[in-house]
Amino acid sequence: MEWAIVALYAGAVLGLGVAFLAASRLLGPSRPKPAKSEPYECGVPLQAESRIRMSVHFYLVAILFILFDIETVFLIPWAVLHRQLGAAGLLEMGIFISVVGFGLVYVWRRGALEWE
Amino acid sequence: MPTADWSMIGPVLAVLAAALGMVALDLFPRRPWHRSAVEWTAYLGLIAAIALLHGAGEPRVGFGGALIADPLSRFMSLAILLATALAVPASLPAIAARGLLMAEYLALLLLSAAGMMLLVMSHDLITMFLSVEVLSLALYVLCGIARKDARSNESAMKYFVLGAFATGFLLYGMALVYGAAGTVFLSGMSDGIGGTEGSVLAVAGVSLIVAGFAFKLGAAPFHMWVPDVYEGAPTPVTAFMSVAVKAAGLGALARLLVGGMALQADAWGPLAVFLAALTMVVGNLGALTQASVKRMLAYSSIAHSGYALIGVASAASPEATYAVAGISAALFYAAAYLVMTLGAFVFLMFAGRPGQEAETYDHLAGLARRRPWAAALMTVLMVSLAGIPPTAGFIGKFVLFKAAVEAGQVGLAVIGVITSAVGVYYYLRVVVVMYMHEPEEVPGRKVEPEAPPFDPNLGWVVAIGAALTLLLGVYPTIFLNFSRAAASTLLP
Repeated sequence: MEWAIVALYAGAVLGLGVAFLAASRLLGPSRPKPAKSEPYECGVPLQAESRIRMSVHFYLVAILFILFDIETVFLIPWAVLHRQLGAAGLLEMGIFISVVGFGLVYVWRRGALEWE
Repeated sequence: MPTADWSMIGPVLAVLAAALGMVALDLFPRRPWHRSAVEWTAYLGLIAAIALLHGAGEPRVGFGGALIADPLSRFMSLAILLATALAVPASLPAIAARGLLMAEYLALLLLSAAGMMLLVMSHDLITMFLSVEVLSLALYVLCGIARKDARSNESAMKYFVLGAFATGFLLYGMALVYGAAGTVFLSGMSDGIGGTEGSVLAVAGVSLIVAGFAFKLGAAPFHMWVPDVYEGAPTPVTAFMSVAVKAAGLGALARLLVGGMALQADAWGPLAVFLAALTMVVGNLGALTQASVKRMLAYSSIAHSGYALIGVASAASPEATYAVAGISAALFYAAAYLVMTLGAFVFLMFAGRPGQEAETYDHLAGLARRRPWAAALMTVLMVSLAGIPPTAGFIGKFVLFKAAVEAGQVGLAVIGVITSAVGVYYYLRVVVVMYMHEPEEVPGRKVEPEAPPFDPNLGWVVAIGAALTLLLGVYPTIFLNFSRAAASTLLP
C-alpha cells in the first residue's frame, strides 16, 4: 500500500513534465533553425574533434579553482556549528583560512593567475 | 568538541611550519642570503621536530581517538626525521645542478615527512588513509620535479598512476573492514570484527589493505613500479623515498595488523608469509642482472622489504612474545635499512661529478685509487647491505631470522638466508669493481686522471650513513631495546 505514494509521485512528475512540454509546444511560437534544434550543451558545439589544441592555462585555472573551491567547502560545517565550537573553533578555522590564504598568495606571487 | 592535545603533534607542526616558511621566503624578492635562509629554515624545523619528539611525554591517544603518540610512533618519527635531515643536504647539489626550485623542493620533502609522521601516529583508518595520501602526493611531485628530464617525468607518471591504483585497493579494503568491524578506530577493531570464520567481508578487507600497503612498501608482486620510479627520480628523492616511505609504511602496517587486527592473524598471517617469501626471491634475483647500480639498489630495496616483512609474518604468531619479537626485529631492520640504503644512494652522487652521477658499475671502476675514502665508506654500506658482520645489516637479519625461527616460520628464515647469499654477489661486485678494476674508457665520459671535484656535503651524508651502520652493528643493544619497547606497547 505504501508503494501507492511512490506511484502517485512518479505519476505527478511524469504528468507535470508532459504538461510543460505540451504547453510550450501548443502555446509558444515555433521558428526552428538548425542551431536551435540541436540539444543544448552549455553553448559548446555538440560534436567536434576530441583532439583539439587548448591553452594549458585552462588546465591551471581549473586545478586552482577545484583546490580553492574544495577548501572553501570546509567552511560550511563550521558555519553550521560555529556557536557550539566557540572560540576554539574560531581559532582553528582561522589557522585553516590562513593556510588557504597563504596558498592564494603563493599562486598569485608565482604568477599562476596571470593569463599571459 | 574533542579537546586537541597539540603537544602530541608538535613535531608534525614544526615540520609543517618550516615547509610553509620556506615557500613564504621564496615569495620575497631574492637576496644573496636567500638560499641559505631556505636551507636553514628546513634544518631549524627538523631540529625543532626532533626536540619536540624527545619531550613528547607519556604514551597517549588524542584528537578524538584519531592519533596516538607511543614508543612506536616516536621510533618511526625519529627514523623519518633522520632520513629527512640527511636528504636535505644530499638534495642541495642536485637542486643546484639541475636548476630545480629549491624552496618548493625542500617544502615538498618536509610535507611528505609530515605525512609519514602522521601515518605512524594514525589510530584510525581515515587518518591512516589521509596520511598515506599526504606523503604520496608530495612524493609524486618530487619524482617529477626535474621537469625537463624525460626519465623524471616517466618516474612521476608511473608512480602516480600505479600509486592511485594502489590507493584504491587500500581505501576499498578499509571500507570493507569498517563494514565488518563497525568502527574505524584501531582500538576495538579486532573485537568488532571477531573471528574470521566465514566472514568474507573481513578477509577481503584485510587482504585489500595488505595489498595496498605492499604496494607502498614495494613488495612483490606489487613491486613492478619500483625499478623505473627509483631510477628515473632525482637521486636524492630516490634516497629519501626508498627509506622513509618504507619505514612509515612498515610502522603503520605493524600498528594496523598487530595492534588493530590481532584476532584476524589467521587472515593476514599467510598473506605476509607469501609476500615476504616472494619479495625476497624476486628482489634478489632482479638485482643480480642489473648493469645500473641505481637500478640494482632499487631491486635491493625490494629485497629488503621482503626481509622486513618476515618480521610482520612472524608477528602473526598467537604467542605474544613471538609477536613482539617479530615486530621489534622488523622495526630495527627498517632503521638499519634506512641508514645503509640512504648512504648508498647518496654515494652515487658523491662518486660522480656535480651534475653527472655514477650510474653503471663501469663508472665506479678504479674508484678506490682516485677516491679512497669514498670507496671505503661505500664498502661499509655494501657489506652491511649484504648482511656481513660487524654491521647493522647483519644484526638486523640475525634478529629477524631468529624471530622467524622462534615463531615457527622456519621456511621464511631458510629463504631469507639463501637469498642473502645471492645478495652477497651483487653487493660485493660493487666493491670488487671499485678496488680491482681499472677505469675503462666509457663512451661520453672522460676518465679523470686525478680526483674530480665533489660536494663535501654529500661526503658527510655518506659518512654519517656508514658511521650509523657501524654503530648499529657494534652497539645494537640500545636500538634493540628501543624497538622492543615500541613493539611491546603495540599489543592490545
